[in-house]
Amino acid sequence: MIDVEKDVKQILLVEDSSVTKDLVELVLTQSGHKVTSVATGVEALSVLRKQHFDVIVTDFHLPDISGIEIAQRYLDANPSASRPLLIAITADTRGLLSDPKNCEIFDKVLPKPLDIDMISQIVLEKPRLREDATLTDPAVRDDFLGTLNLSVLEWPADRRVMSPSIMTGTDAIVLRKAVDLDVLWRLDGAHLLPVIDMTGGLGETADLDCARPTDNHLPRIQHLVAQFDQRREDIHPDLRRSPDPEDRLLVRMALAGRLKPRLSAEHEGFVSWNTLCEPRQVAELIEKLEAAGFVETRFFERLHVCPGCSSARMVVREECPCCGSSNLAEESYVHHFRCATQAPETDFKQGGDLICPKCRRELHHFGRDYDRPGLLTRCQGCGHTAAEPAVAFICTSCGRRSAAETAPTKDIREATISENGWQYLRSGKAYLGPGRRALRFGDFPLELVVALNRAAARFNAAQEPFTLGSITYLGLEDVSQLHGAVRARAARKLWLETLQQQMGDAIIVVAGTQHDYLLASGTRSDALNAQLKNARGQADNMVRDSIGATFALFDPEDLVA
Amino acid sequence: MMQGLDYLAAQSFGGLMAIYWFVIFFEIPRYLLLFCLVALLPRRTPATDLVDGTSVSVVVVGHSEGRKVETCVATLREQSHRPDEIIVLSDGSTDDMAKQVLALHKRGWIDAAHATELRSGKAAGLNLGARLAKGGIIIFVDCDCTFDRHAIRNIVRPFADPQVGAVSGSVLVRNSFASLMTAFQAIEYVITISLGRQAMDRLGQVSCVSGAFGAFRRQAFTQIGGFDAEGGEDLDLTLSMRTAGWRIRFAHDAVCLTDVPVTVRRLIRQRGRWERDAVRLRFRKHAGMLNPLAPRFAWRELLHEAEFLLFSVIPAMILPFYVIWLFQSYGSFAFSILVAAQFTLMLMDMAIFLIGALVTPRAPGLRLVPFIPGFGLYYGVFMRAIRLNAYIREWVWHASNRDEFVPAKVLRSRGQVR
Repeated sequence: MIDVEKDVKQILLVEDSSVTKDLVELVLTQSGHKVTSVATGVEALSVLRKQHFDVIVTDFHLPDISGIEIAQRYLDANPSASRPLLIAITADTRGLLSDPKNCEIFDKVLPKPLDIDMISQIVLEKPRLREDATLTDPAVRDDFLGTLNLSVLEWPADRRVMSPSIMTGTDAIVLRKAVDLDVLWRLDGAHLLPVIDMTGGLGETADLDCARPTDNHLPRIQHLVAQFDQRREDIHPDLRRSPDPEDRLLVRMALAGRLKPRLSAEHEGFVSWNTLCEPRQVAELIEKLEAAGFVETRFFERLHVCPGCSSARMVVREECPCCGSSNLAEESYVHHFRCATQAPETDFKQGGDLICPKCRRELHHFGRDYDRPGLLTRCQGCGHTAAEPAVAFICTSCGRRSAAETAPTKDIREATISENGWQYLRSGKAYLGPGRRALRFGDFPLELVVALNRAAARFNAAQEPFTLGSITYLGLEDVSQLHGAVRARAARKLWLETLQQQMGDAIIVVAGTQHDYLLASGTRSDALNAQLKNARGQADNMVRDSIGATFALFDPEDLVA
Repeated sequence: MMQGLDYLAAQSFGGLMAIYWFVIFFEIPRYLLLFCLVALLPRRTPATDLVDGTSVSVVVVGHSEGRKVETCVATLREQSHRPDEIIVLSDGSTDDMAKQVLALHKRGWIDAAHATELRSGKAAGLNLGARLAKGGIIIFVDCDCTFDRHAIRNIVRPFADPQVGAVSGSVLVRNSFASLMTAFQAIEYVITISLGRQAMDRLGQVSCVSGAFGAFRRQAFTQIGGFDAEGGEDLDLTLSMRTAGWRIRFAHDAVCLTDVPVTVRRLIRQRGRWERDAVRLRFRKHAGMLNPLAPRFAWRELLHEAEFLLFSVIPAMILPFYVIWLFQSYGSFAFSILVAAQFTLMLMDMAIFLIGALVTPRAPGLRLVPFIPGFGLYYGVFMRAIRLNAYIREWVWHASNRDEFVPAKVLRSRGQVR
């Protein structure tokens, strides 16, 4: 529950569809906001004349005047008033965003079908200041991309006008300059978009290099954008929206393919990846994702890293094991057969002659008087001799010296999404089990929305309780793999029907996609739970396969918490 | 048999002398001398540790001993008196010894690692090690040796006397019970090396510092010029040092263990080499020590030379003649006579071994007693046969000049291979 004073917003909702209107109103009211809802543009303008709102949520297409007109007229009529947060709802995000004027006016664009969870978060954001509302210099956008009629984010030119969720409806990121890429990566939704590199310096970090565009780049861009669009659809909204860095990287992999490392001197870690995400972070995230079982990794390279600063920018050198100097020279041992003297050659050298340091005889004949049984290293600094020089690393970042044996190594591994990872991407957080499951209005079937709407209205008017339940089938995946999807679907259907029969009129059961739902009017969850227990037993008995159905029950108060 | 014993029992003292002259001249004095010297003369080991701060270097040289070198170095690192420096050389090893040595250096276990690709021979390896060593005392050890915790402390103690040039460590057998031969060698090491050198030490007559574990004063070592290019380099260097006037000591409590040959064939080869080297060095290279007219002659060297001559060379030469003479003179009684002699010697072996085990720290002692009855045959007959063979081959054919222990290129350069 949101109960902090300043987080209570005055919200104007302009929406002609009553289902959407009721649902949004329910959610926002339950979050503690004051919501005024109207169905037409004219009504909206008249309300706006009387009252100031913090947030205006408007459908873009209204029966009378468009959402943009409402906003424009309001802003023109109140040039000095503080600017409200302007949110547009539309089924045609691309059309809306293709007009730069729209981008200028609306702070957020929400696509239909509406993501209810997102609304409650977005209304809390701060509106853009008026003077910020400048358009990107159209001159920066070149004709090349213009011909494609894409909605793109120009980096870094658009960074000031970009508000996080404008990514919705954007097709691609166009990099004009490789600056602050980490800031770009952190923008909400940046991981969902293909990156087109106009600088030519990013290599595989970007998805397409367009530094020297030719005609055949256009179909490639189109293909890339289409590919991202298509793949995005397969990803559960939970994950598309998740701010969690691991989830973001996983989603990026689902869109752009496996994470490929490559050696590159640009970064301290000596490795670059095919993503904008900071290279060091990528390695850490891959580890976490692998631990969770969502990716499989393959060895790519093992690098020595500085024990002090973890940089891989190290110089390898041979050095004296005694004093650490790299001023080394190689020479051979000389073995004088006759008197068994064996010593480094220097000890024998006298001008051009070899004189035995022990018996003072001259060594005349290689193989007869003497030979060279091996090589040794002599330090020109301290004179120490050794069979082999020591190997050490000098870190060029922090200057620290470390012996080869003590320098830690770091394995770089490339990552592909595992079977579990794909399931997680498709099923969303529900895949992680009931503990982390959250109820998502966006997933609700229309039938449920209508029923819920009715129940909510009664709760608001007469405090009549209701219970909303979601049903998750933990064993369904196994059944599907073992006996096929058809049998799994049939089992789920039979189970749900049996539950409905057992419970009779007490509940409405609605089949969904990921989950099924039930709604019980006039009952609270604790009371319902007892009844459900019995019914579930019956349903379990009826179905041959164990599909592992579990309930999560929510009271009206839970729904907005 | 019984008749033979009756015959012996009936003999007067003079008669017994006539029969057992060999035993009485060559066997019994050996035991008596050892016993008297060790029992009657005081031990000369200084009671104090070497405290003058002289640094100690240990040089380990091995040829293809990759499996043993790590254990050897490990026991050196366990010393109560840690050597200031450990230098390991791989002399043209054909196994992974060079790699092992470099790995030990990387691990920081040793201070210098050197490896040659061609084999130069032990003497050259030791000389290179000595050249690289910085210590005032250089201890040479074999790769297959391991050391008691106080071995280094005890072997450097005698250097407190500035006239001491070299100290021999006490080498005992590690694989005593690997075979019958190793058990006999274990007994032999206790009696001849430990007890024998303790006796000679009391007389200041130690003539050989073990190549397996010997310490040298750098000053003395360089004065002699290090090892020469031939076999038996340990005896050679010690004799040279004695000539130069340095005292040689034996540290009975500086114990090192080594593996001795397990098979008869390997034992014969090892001992043959030792005996050939001993004869060559004493009677050819260092013959001047025996010649009153030579400048190297010194009366005090006569004793250990006489010991070698009397107890090693002459008995080995005479024994076959003695046995033949016995059978000619006494016919079938000769066998009983020899059995009786062996029995007497066995009792003496037992006594002397027990004394040896008593004064030798870390000796296996009682566990070796069951092997004593056979030791008389091993030492009195088997070893003498090996010796006789070695002496003849050396005198007649200069066999040591073809010794494979020294690389052919070295022998060739010394003109010893025709």
